[in-house]
Amino acid sequence: MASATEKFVISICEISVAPESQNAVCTLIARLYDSLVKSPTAHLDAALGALTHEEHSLGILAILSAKLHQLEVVDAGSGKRYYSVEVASLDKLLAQLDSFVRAGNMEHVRYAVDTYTEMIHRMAELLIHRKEAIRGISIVAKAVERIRTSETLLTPTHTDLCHLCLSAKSFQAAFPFLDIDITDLQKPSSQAAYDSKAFLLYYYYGGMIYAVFKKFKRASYFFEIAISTPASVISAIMVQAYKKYILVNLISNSGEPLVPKFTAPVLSRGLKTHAGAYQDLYHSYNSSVQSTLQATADKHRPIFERDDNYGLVKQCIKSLYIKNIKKLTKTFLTLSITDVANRVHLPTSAEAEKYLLKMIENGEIYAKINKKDDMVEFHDNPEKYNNPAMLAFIQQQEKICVAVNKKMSDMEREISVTPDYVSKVGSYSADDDIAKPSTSAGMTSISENL
Amino acid sequence: MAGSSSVASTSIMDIDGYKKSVLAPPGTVPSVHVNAHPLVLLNISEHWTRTRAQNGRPQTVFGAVIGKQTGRLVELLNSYELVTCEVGGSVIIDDAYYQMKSEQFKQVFPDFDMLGWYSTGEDPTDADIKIHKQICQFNESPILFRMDPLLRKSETVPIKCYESVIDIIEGEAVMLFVELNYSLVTEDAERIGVDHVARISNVESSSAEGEDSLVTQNLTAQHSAIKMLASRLNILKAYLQAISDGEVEPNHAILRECNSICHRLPILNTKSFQEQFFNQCNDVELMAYLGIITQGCQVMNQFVSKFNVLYDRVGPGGGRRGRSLPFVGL
Repeated sequence: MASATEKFVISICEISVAPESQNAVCTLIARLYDSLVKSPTAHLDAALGALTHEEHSLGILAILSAKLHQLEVVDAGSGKRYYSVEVASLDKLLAQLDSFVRAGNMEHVRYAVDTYTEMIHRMAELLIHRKEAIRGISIVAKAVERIRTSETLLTPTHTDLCHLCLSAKSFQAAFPFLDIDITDLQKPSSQAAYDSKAFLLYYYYGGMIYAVFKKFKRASYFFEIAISTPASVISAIMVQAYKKYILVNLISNSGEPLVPKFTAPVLSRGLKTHAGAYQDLYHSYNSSVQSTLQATADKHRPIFERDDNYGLVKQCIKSLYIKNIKKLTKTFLTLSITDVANRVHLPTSAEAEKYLLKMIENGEIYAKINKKDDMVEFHDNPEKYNNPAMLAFIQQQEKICVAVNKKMSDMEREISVTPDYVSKVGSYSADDDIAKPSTSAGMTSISENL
Repeated sequence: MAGSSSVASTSIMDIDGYKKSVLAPPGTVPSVHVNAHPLVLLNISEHWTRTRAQNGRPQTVFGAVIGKQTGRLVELLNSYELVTCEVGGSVIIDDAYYQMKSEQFKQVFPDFDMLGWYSTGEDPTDADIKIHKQICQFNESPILFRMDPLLRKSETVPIKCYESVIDIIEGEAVMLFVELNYSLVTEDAERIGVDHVARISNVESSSAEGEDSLVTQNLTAQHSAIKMLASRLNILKAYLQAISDGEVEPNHAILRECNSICHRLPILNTKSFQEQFFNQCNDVELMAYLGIITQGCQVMNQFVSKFNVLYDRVGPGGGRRGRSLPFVGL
């Protein structure tokens, strides 16, 4: 008697012969998926051997998903999911996944993008659970690269990549993806909207990765997106992002407001209760008095430590010294290093000198330290904005702006041709076959989902 | 008026006595002093020129002059045209039009009064007295501001100012004109406009095309100079090329000259040129950048307003009362 997997392989092969058969295959898989999950692993592996990447990518996807699904164990008591797997079969599975994301036919896979997303997500969870996150990074990076239709498209798999990188504490693989500004969201194959949790987590994880590398401006931008996403209820991810948002802004001394401008009202109201300690810290930082900041940091230390944010708080305290030294440059032209130490409340002049040197190196201040008299001499910014590099910089910024403008015009046009919009404005257009909007609907689907 | 400065002061001494019927005898003392601002002059001159261009022949034009009066000093600040019609050989001012126009000017310049009227032509005549009497309905003692556009030989501005007096001649009360002293004054703001007009007309008179601005002229001159330099250098280059290809025997005297010219050329490689060049270059780029950003703001604004229209009521959460918009306007 033919097993479930054999039947599955035969039907897949039969249907796949016809061109444009992807939708039929998807329906078949949906019907047989449960039986696949129940099939023995050996049968599934055998079935894999019978299918080729080029023609039967959807079938392979289903079998791999089923294999991962089998490893999932739901704890009866707590309802928590965890995975149990033998080392040898895990190695084999990872190899199979790796060859699939490299060789699979993504044109076909896009018909079942949800299954694909879920499969990668399961794999990421499994590896993080086993504390072997680093093994998944290259697979997931490849998976993102292959499935996205354009560089600026965000997929839920991006989130898994960031998660893996954070767990593995190996971030280099994430930067090529994070550095691209996202303009579109991947449309799930089912009717559901883009998963808001994946969206928020992507920006939360992304912000954390940038914060690790002290790219605070970019980190703050990522957190800000997470916070200012339109919402009608508060998400825990938003609150956590907000806490880190305040901290990275204080560290980079960027002067951002307490709450980003476009925050949903329900969130800005709730932040006081959920992140009061951080707002306290913000206010005492802005008093510019070192002792006040230290006192606030000590007072709320248990909260910061519980949130695993105390390291960032310590960086905030250091950054206040930098802020205060910068302030001195506005008043003084020359100052003795002991004076600097006294004015910014640093314990020793050696410490002050260390700060000054670091700031000069980072280009935050323009100064010269005179070792003979222990004096520091502040200079003006030597940049005269009259060199080719500056010209190139401006032109590059212009290009970015033009691209943004174009994107916005496109989005605007898409709204203009939405049937909803046309009927609201009241002037009915003659065309009935107006194209459905894709991007703007994708962006708003987040708000609908929250 | 504070801040005003006198540009030219003309006192008219020689009054012709031959039109005794209209002008008061020479001894009459004028009662006020007139300060005329350039806008009035420009308006009249423009009005007359335009009418002449439209009708193909010079024509007397009429208008009202407005300004401020403080004591014995009259400031003529602005003017507007009046509609007139000829009835039986005499000119009649359109009263309704004047009322409407004066109403409008009152809204823009609430502290300006109607002080008199202007017309063009030579010395005033009996016909002007008749018009003057009409103007007297609007202002008890109006001033006549007279411009003679055809006067060519005058050294001064071809303008005369008159006020009216009632005199008894041969037992009858007759209205006579008394010539007034006037000064031309400008304020700083006005001077900009006047300078501009003056410069354009200077350029017009000096260049045949008449449409180039000073900047264009300047740049055209530089451009042709550079073009000439480039063409001469190309000759040198062609010569040197020919020598290096062996087509021409090298002439050491010429080569020596070439060398010395070439030494003087690399003026554009100096540091100060580079600095200035990139200063300007970056400034221009920044302007372009600003333009792009402004455009972006505009697109953004449109997008936000459309977005708000689309998602105003059917947005997320399903119609909470007094719900806030998904995006706040810029």
